[in-house]
Amino acid sequence: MYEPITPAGNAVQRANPLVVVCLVLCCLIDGLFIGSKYLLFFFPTSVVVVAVAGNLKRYLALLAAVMLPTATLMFVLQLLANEGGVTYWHWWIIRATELGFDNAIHYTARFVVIGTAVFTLICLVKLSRFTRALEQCGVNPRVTYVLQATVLIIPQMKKRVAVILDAQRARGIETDANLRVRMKALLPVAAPLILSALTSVEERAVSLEARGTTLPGKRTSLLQVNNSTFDKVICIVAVLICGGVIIAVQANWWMP
Amino acid sequence: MNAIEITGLSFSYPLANRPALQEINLSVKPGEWVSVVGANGAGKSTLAQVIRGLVPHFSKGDLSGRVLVNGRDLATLSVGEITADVGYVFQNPFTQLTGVATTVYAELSYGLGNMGVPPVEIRRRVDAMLESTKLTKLAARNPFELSGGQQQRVALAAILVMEQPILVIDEPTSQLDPETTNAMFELLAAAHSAGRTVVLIEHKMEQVAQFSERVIMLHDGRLVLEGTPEQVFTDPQCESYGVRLPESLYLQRALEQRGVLLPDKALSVNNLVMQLVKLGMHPRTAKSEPAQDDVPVIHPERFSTTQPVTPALLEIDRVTFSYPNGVEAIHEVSLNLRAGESVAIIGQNGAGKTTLAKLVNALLRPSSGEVRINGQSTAKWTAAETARRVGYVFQNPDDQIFNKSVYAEVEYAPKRWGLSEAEVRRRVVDALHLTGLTGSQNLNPYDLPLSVRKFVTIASTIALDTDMVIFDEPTAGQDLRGLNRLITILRELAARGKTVITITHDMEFVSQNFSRTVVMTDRQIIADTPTEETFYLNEVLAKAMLDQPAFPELTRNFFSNDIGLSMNALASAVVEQLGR
Amino acid sequence: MASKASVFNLMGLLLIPVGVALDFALGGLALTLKLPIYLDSVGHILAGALGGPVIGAVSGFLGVMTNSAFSADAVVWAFQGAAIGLVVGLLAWAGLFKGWPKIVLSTVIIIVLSTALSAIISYAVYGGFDGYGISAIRAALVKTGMPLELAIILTAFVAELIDKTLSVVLPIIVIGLMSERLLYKFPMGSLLHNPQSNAAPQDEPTVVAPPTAGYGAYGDK
Repeated sequence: MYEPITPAGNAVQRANPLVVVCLVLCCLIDGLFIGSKYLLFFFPTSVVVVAVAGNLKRYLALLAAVMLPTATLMFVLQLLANEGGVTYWHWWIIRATELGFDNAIHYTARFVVIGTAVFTLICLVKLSRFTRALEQCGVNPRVTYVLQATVLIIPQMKKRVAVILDAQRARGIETDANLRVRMKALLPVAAPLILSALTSVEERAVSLEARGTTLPGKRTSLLQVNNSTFDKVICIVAVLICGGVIIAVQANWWMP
Repeated sequence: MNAIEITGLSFSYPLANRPALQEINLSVKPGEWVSVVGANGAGKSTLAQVIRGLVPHFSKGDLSGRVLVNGRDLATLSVGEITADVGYVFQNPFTQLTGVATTVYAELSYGLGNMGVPPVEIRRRVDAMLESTKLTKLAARNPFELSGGQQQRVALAAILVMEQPILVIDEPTSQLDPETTNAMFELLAAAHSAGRTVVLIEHKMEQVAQFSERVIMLHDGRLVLEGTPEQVFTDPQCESYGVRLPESLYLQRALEQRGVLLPDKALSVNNLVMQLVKLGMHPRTAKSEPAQDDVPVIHPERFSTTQPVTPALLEIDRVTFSYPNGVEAIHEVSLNLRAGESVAIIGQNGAGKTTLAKLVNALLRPSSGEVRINGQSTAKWTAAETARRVGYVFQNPDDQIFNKSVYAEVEYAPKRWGLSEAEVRRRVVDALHLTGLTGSQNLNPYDLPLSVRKFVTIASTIALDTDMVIFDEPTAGQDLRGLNRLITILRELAARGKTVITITHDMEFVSQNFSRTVVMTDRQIIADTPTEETFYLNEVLAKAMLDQPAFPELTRNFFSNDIGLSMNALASAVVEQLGR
Repeated sequence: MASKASVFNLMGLLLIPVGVALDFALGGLALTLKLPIYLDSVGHILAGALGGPVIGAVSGFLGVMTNSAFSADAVVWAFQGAAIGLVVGLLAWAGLFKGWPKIVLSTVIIIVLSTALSAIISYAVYGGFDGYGISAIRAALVKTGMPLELAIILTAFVAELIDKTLSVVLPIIVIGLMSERLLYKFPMGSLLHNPQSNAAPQDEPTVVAPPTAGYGAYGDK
């Protein structure tokens, strides 16, 4: 009722998350070998796929907020730090040269390829479906637990920091003022946070036992991820193509 | 075949030099409700964990004796395998959430998935459980965003849905307000009616007396009393083992001391009322209810007629507070306290009590209005500066504790304040003595039970010797010794002229220890009166959804509110009426 | 029955999400307190120290990788996190966190490793300019004539020195503040035990005189 067993929607939205991960990883690995021109294929393709999945807004937001600033900084630094060949532009001791430009394109493209792959995965794959797919393949449920819990517990821990900060302020521990004072506030806030986090480890382990996490036998779930032969075939084909491309590029049969 | 059969059980934790349990023998029949009572540290939780198999598998340590659950010897089973037979719920709502469920629905399904229940059956059971626990409206919410009380209901539901025949529940209501406490007991009662065996550890003796078929008492790891609730609570040794009695028994005892003798021991206020009626008292009818005051009811001045008039120490002047996201938490609240006053603030969760307290010690800043201490506005002081005037004991001691020993913890803040070594030592020794921690001063606070750690933070605050002290839920999870200790601390602070604000859900504690009570509901103060009037304000109590302490609950059956909270007045009125 | 040594032991496994969450929380704390350091490794270093090499490696990898929401290529740096977590776990297992001389040695090892990995990853993947702020300093140094390799190593070292020292010392201090009983419940607990306890642990406080005038007295009113 609150989580559809198989999500409605198009092929992309219903796809097996493991297949999606496999495909994206293959693209990423190929991208690292092929070089900057790969972006001309990879970037538009991922934008289209994410749009089909209905997550375009989030994807673009991530690109703008996270990738763009870093990529720009990287590009500028690469451009100015490496000198060689024709000088395109200079001011005082800063020169933008042909070598700098080539380097900037090369490395920034690499960064963008990695970032694109990561954001595509974030926008295409739902964590709960991914872990369920793993479980259906036989991965130990404790491992999948760890993956999911890692993400969901982070906001709770951040809330605790605010609570503990207040609690220690209420004892007269200053958290504003100069650097020395602020450094001295580090232990009284970090220590209760860590200690209570560690005691919560024990209590949560007990809770998980109480819910049968260590029960032997197969786990069922309201989530079912379809796992057909078609999916397996796609994965195998993707890996083969990926490998083939790498060999072709390394052996110089293909120089994009 | 018994549901639980324990023979000769003894257990010691690793690194311990005293056994936690000694020679326990216990049989529990299927479908029976057994409550386990005892002072904190007596071994109740350890016993609960033995039944669930967490001891010794999880905790390590030496266990001897035999434990059979549904006929199976626990020594032959893994912890996981016991899941099918025994459900386990404990005090802390937050750590009972798995952390992998983004909705309450998923949280409830998790355990069933582990048990390999087919999806169709999972849906059926979860839907039914949401219905019976009245959680349907919360089904799509993230469990971590719920209140503590709601989380605890979810935790209980997530275990109940697994339909284990035996339920072991360890202090489920210690952190909850009265309304949620009643809801939890209703759920347990329903589970019990459905045929499940219930083993419950609790400090709320009224409910223990009401629901249990059998009560066992632990003391220092031994089983010292066993029987029906009546047998155990009327045993003269009961209190000496550190266990509080149901309040009606205290009322009965006080009435006897003043010449009102009743034939039977009253385990509930209703029973007390019945016996008095049998003796010849005339119960009041609904029609003779006196006219109610209009809400809000504010007249703290009536309290102060016996005190010399001193200027206000704390002035909260028409304060409104809203969070950055626009949600209003306090609306036009005003409150004045004189030096040396001790006031209780009561109200349900979400009424604004803690927010108000945090406005006093400047952890929060008023959106409008002003907070003044000794005439000066707190607006210019940082929270840490205000802390020199207002001490605050947080609800969760683990938010503050981090030192290796109790002594080091209590010493920490005074030392940081730059006081002389001699002065720090004097204050620490005094604070430890007042909180009864002198003998534990070298222990690591995390080796002490949570209820005792609470006293470590209380001691830390006392050592700061501030003019004002705020206690946030000090009574949660406390046993008889802890409650007595709190009473001593409150009296001592009053004697030292400290101004004390106590936020609490324990109405019994409020009615017996505070002469002035402030009731908050829905972001406002709706009553600020002498305590002897507070619990007769029907409108106020209804709006704030508060429980009544036993004394007013008793007197309202026979008298109007002129009795207040005076036992002498009650006893003479009863004697008078019976004499006629 | 789950054996204590099994890597799937719940107490060890749960250190992973806690380690990652602490990475975030303490990193956020450093920002809130406006401290000039990152402090986003404390969590997985703690997880490695208490849980051992495997737990540390996974916690380090996930800890840095989940940061991807804030840093597009965090997945690359995740390998550095994993290596640090792994090495911390190994150091703990070898007993190299017992006693301050050994702790200093371990800290040095971690700083050197961290610097090396930071430099190598930055150079191999990005030619030295990886989009973090220190890259700007690197560029400036290269402009003054310093060889690129030296600039990378130098800036990496300075950045890692303070950060990693604090990130190792903080968990060690907190482990020292922990109760022994709690410490022993973790996989590496017995190997970290640092006997600085004051008195022999007693379990129950000696009986203090019970407080006066008790509960439920309904006294002189």
